[in-house]
Amino acid sequence: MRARCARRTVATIAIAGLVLACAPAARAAHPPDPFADQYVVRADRDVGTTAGQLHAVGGPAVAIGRAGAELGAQGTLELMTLAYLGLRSTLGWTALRPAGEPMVLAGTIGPSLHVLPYRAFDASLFFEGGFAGVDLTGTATAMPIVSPGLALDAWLVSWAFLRAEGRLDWGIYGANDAARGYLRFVASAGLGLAI
Amino acid sequence: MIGAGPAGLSAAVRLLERGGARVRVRVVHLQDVLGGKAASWRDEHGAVVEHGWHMMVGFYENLFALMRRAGIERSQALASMQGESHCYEPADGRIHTMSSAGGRLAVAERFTRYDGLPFVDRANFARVMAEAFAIAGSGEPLRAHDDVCFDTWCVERGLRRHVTRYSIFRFLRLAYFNFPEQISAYHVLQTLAHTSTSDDAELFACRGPYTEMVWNPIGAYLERLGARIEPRVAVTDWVYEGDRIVGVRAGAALPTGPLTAPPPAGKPPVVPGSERTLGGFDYVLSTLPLPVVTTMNRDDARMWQSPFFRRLENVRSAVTMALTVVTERPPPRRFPGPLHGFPSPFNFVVDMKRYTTSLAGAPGIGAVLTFGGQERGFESWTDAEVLDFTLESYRPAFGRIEDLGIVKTEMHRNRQPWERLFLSEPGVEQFRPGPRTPFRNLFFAGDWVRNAVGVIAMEGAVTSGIEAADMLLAAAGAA
Repeated sequence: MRARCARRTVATIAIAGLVLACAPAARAAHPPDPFADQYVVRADRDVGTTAGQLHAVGGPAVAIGRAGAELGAQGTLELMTLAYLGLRSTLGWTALRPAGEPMVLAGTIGPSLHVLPYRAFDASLFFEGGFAGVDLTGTATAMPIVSPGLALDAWLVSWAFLRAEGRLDWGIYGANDAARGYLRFVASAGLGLAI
Repeated sequence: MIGAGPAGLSAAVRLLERGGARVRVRVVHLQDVLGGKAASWRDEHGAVVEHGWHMMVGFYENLFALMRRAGIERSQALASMQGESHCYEPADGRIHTMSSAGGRLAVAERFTRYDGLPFVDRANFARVMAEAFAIAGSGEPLRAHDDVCFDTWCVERGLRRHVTRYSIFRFLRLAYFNFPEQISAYHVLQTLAHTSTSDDAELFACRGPYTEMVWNPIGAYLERLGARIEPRVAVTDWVYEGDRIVGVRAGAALPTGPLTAPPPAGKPPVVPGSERTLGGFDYVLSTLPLPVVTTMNRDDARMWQSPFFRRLENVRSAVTMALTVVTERPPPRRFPGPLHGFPSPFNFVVDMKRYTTSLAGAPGIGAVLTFGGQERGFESWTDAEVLDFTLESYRPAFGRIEDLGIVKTEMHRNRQPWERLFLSEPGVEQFRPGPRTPFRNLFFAGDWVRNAVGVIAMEGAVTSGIEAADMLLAAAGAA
């Protein structure tokens, strides 16, 4: 019984298909638009670093020094002048730190070299330099600082990516009439936006 | 002077204004009306038929100055389109309004609210356009950007490729009749350089037929200056000896224009037996359109194998189309500025009822929808097919136009060499000549000739005429 029903259904569909195929097509009053595809906005599938992009990345950062780990945050703006060459600027701040360690607010700027532009995964080397304010709420000292590092990007969509970054912050600042070295390995991760 | 379009009229005026009594100017031109590719006619019922819809833009300084000197009151001749234009985005099926009114900040602020693009695409587009405006206004030579189309230029600067498909991005290609072709990045940047302020970007519609409102008064001014204007003269060939033009082959032109049956493509139609050689001149300033220049002296291999003339053959031109649909009732929604973005050979439309003085209060006329575009890709379509497709495409703006009671439709295609429009494709600048030619007494002018404005517009033609006239006067020692 079930097999007969199935055969009947198949036959009905076949006949309907045949009727539709043989029916005269409704005559269009004009031919199809030769440029119809020009008006369709394609899916946004392009990911990766390209020339002209402006990247804005923000996220938490962990700084590891001799006295232990410090917690903070950092934000980076990066303008891609060429697909592989960017100019980036970073603002970093250590919020939670071991006792006796200085609170640092650092602003640095420098070039970055992207080795895998136009791809979903990208790596970049950078070398920034600038100044940091040390213990701004206390003794308030300025410290020149340099920050070489490496960043890894994983693009989620054409306008957003995840960035993991490691860098070395090195500087010398004055405290209690003595020069003190400042050396931290800073690891950070964050969400980046690209326009 | 050959030609009486914007370039020819401005050049002739310049020659007489600067040259004074030492200069005598004789103008010969093909059509029975002044205006060249911006001319208008009246049919047997008195209805106006334009070569195509034209607008003026706030940066048309030379044309406005010429109109002023000819006694044309700008506010009487032109109507501001209130800084508005409207863009249909097929992606969301809606019409969005853009306004250039107010300062740059006001324009930028309004753009952040332009909801025809998703926010991230808008941010990406805005960032790239900000860079384009910065480069356009930097003073650097923009011709260096002519080697790529504007789409590629933007993608090279970080524009995501799919953004090029939005209508707002296609706007400049449509405005210059460069769709489906690509447009040179130089051309767009030059446009941005000219329209960086709201006043410079303001759009104007003519309150009546162009020939009657603009070109005839300028022609009358030209005659007051002492020029002789001869219509219906078809120039066909140069006659030269060595490096001097000694004659111009010409004949009595048969009627041309949208009201006449189109002649077979080629040289301008001449009354049989009327060809003669015009002489008695010292200098020739030609404003013939490039597609006409390339039909002249075709049997002269030496001339066409010379570097100057050979490179002219690399330049292409577009067949523009014009359509006017007059309806009995007004559409449910009215748009003050040009409306574009619809799939059709007619890339934009303006309802001219509100701008045309004689139509503004006319009973029984609801709208005068004036469409413009180019024919590429639709060459084999009949006019009926194009009309049907266009009315269907523009439904999101006007609803079923057929239901408004169509009183009249008029469509024509500007296919003849003297009707075609220079196509500002990528890479074309290297082939665009300046006013000087290898002939010492022959100068070229027209929108296709290099000039300070650069863009294909009436202002470019007028400026080219001025520059060519100045060069001619300098060569003649009469400046």
